[in-house]
Amino acid sequence: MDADLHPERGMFLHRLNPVAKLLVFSCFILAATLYLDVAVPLTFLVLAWLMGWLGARISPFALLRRLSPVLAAAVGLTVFNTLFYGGPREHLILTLGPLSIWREGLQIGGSIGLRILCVASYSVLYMWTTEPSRLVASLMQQARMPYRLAYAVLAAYRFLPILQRELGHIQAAQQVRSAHRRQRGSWLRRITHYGIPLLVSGIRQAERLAIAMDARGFGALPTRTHYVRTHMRPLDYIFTATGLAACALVLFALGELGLLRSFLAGVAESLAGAPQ
Amino acid sequence: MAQERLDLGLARWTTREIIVMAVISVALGLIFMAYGVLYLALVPLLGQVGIMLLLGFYYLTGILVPYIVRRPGAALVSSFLAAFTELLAGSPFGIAAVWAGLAQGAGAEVAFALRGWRDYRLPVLMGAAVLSGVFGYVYEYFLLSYAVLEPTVQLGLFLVRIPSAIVLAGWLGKVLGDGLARTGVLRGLAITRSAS
Repeated sequence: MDADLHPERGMFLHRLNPVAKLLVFSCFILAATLYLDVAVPLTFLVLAWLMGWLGARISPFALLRRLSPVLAAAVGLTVFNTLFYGGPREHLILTLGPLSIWREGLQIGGSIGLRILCVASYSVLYMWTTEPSRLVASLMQQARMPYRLAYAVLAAYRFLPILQRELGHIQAAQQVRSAHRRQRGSWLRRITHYGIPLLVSGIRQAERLAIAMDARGFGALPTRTHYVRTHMRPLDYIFTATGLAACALVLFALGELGLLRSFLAGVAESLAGAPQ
Repeated sequence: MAQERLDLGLARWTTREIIVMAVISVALGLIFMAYGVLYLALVPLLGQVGIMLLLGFYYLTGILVPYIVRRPGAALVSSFLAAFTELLAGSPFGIAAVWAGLAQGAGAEVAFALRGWRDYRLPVLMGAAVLSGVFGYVYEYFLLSYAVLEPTVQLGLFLVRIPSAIVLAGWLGKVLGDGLARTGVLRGLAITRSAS
């Protein structure tokens, strides 16, 4: 039996092999992380939004709305890195009491804030266009993940709604016995009062499942058949090659424009000390 | 038909051990997502350095699961699974979380490996949590370019997470593991077989 979870439906990004897509997205994130200029993460951010828009009909606004909690974190990191910037500095912009803001610090702070947005954009884009079961199937079939582990993850993932319902039961049960009155104590008690019953019920389910799987001979053979098949199609090879080439091209072009400052240069500068 | 080439030493695990590890890791991954909301909300209050006091909780998987199943690879694989769950569940930090999970899990794994995967007493759990913090710091050093910060701030980002790792991962891992063992659901797993 062979079934591809209808990848022919959906847009270009949905149809890609999950492992190939993960590889390319990871390269984009890595590239954005290696440089300290605003231009680099900004370019890859725009690239993510363009890919989402053209390749999956995800409007940049929808993506931005999903990213709103990250936006606050990005602003926070920008402020933090600007205020506590320790590298070489020349241009003073502003002095607020003991704190001074330097143009170099602001640039690098902005770059790190945008970097976080970049990471988040690719992560959200990835999961919005990837079916979890296809991802796990392709990790097994293309990335050689041991199948016993992969099936365990899929099974555990199926437990999540059950565990959520179980948490409701635990809360209700403790309320009936007015356990909450005794709970005013430490945060530790609260964690153990909910965490242990929840994990216990999960582990009980796991035990039953393991017995059922063993009874059907799970893991008896080194190879196995798959219901969901994933393949590396010509499209996937083209996407991977194009993605990696685009990544190199972007970095080369930005370098030619003088907009690249590598992270390693930043390390060297900080080791050399910060001239005032 | 996929040939199983990567083994990770899983061949010797029982099905029950694998599934128990997966369930605990996936449940913790979901808890980490909820914790992340609280974590981000508290950053303005505690500051980027102060928030490191809460960071240690993320190292819990790599301590609790090895403490229960006591197998080589348990720390690395379970840390990865918890982070992978965050990716599957659509966390905006998904891809970065997977890398972080691998780094932190590798740290704990090194600590357990140094004791030959035989010693799971509290000081070892705490040491594994600290090494998780060290490896996690190295990863963040690159992801967030800590190199550009003032040296004292760089040091603060490293030091503040250490007590957090010891308490929220090392000690809490032991408390939760022992609590679970007392309920009897772990009967037959390594944690109940040894008297520690």
